[in-house]
Amino acid sequence: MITSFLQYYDRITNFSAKGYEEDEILLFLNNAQDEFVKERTFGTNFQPPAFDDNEKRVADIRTIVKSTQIATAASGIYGNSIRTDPYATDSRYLYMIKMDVQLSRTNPTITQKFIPCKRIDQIDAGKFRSTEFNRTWFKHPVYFGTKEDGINIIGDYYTTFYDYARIDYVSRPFTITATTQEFDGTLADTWMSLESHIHQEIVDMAVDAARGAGREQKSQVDVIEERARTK
Amino acid sequence: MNVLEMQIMFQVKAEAINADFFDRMRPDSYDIVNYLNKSIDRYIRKKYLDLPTHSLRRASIMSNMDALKDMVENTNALVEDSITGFPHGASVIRVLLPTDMLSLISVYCTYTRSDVPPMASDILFTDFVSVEETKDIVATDANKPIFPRPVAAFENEFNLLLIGDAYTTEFSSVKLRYLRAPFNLSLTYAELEASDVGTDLLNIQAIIADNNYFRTFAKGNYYNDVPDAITFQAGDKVKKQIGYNTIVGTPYTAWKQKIGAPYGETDTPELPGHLHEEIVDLAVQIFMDEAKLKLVQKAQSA
Repeated sequence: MITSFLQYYDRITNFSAKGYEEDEILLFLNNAQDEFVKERTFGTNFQPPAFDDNEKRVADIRTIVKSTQIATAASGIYGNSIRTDPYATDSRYLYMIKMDVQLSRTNPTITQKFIPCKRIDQIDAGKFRSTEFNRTWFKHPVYFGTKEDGINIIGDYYTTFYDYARIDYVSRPFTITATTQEFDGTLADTWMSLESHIHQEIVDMAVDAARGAGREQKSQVDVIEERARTK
Repeated sequence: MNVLEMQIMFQVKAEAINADFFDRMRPDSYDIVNYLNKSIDRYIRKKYLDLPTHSLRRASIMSNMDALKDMVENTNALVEDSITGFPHGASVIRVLLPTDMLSLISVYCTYTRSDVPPMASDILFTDFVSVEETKDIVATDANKPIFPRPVAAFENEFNLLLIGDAYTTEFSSVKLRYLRAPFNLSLTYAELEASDVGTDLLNIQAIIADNNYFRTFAKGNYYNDVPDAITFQAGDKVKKQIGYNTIVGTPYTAWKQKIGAPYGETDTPELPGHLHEEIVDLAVQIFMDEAKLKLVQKAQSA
């Protein structure tokens, strides 16, 4: 990856731009990798729909998309609610794609099945809380994430939750280092987390960022020179 | 549709109009039920009662009796025996109107007169007139009016006058038949039913607290304040007595005992099922009319 970066960077700058140390190149590459995962998950400008809207987007990060069953605990903060913390199960948990929770309910009647949830904003959570004057009804439980509590899941008045939620999520790719090996399907810290055909795109993004950083520095010089000229 | 099904349909329709009604501007169930109740009131008023005269309203109610029958009540009227200072002689009584009445349909009573023709405890329906129109039928020394059917006239919002002619000697057992205000939809309303016909209904305290009222759906026996057993009819308003938790249904083998509580609430609109979707549509329309302003404010602050 470092070699690719240098070759590509030198070619497009025609050897005229400043060079970078290995640590700096790795920083650009890792930032580019994070940016790539974020863009593939949410699209540009965080405009939904994102992840599932085309096959390429799904295929590009499929190696870091995981599914797991996680434990839930009764909460009660938001009425008929439970909470869970994906970080407790996987410290590399990054972005939620989809969540199902196990529940029984009436209206309509469901007996201990996994049902998909809908994401809401935390500011709206109170509107889904069952109270004396709000006997809520919504088929799909709703969820939102907070830093302190992990993920809160709220059911309507007719829902009874059971333990376990199933989540599909994007896990954090492993950091690229000078000794990272080519992707071979192993998801561990000495292998690339994303497939080979993605790497050039990450290098492109890293080079663009590096060039941008260079331009920024140059313009600072221009400002200093301009100030000197106008004195 | 019951109230929950109506709530669901309300939410589905509102969310189809604007997705913000799923989360940002989600109405709570209390508001939705209020909109549904408001819709039922408005629907009945517009469709059946929005007419200029009492006689036209009566005609409208009677021609739509199939739709309104669940809200028609027959009740024994509270009667004030003697009226002083009213220029119709002794053959006038004042009848107290029910507070939950939307429109009076008919009045009938047990009626006795001395002559032209004589009657002894016959049951007669009255005609309706205004108080002002009764000036020509006032019994005086100079005028002995004859009208063998008594008339009823609204005195004010609380009272009705029952007026007989010069030969009227007695009114008794006055009954009112009227269109009652619809019971409010409620998510906390509950019903309790006996296991079979002709059996007692046990443990009514499960749905009704002492000294609160419940509604009966069958003829049965319960207790009054004394307490003595009383017989009530389907549709009656009955008070739950402390320590009395059983409704006796064994003498009434044709009936399956059932009660609903609290009185004045229901979980299904009293209009026929085929009108329920119209009621939801109207509730959504009222809600949207009021929500428009909120949507405009939201757009301006976005």
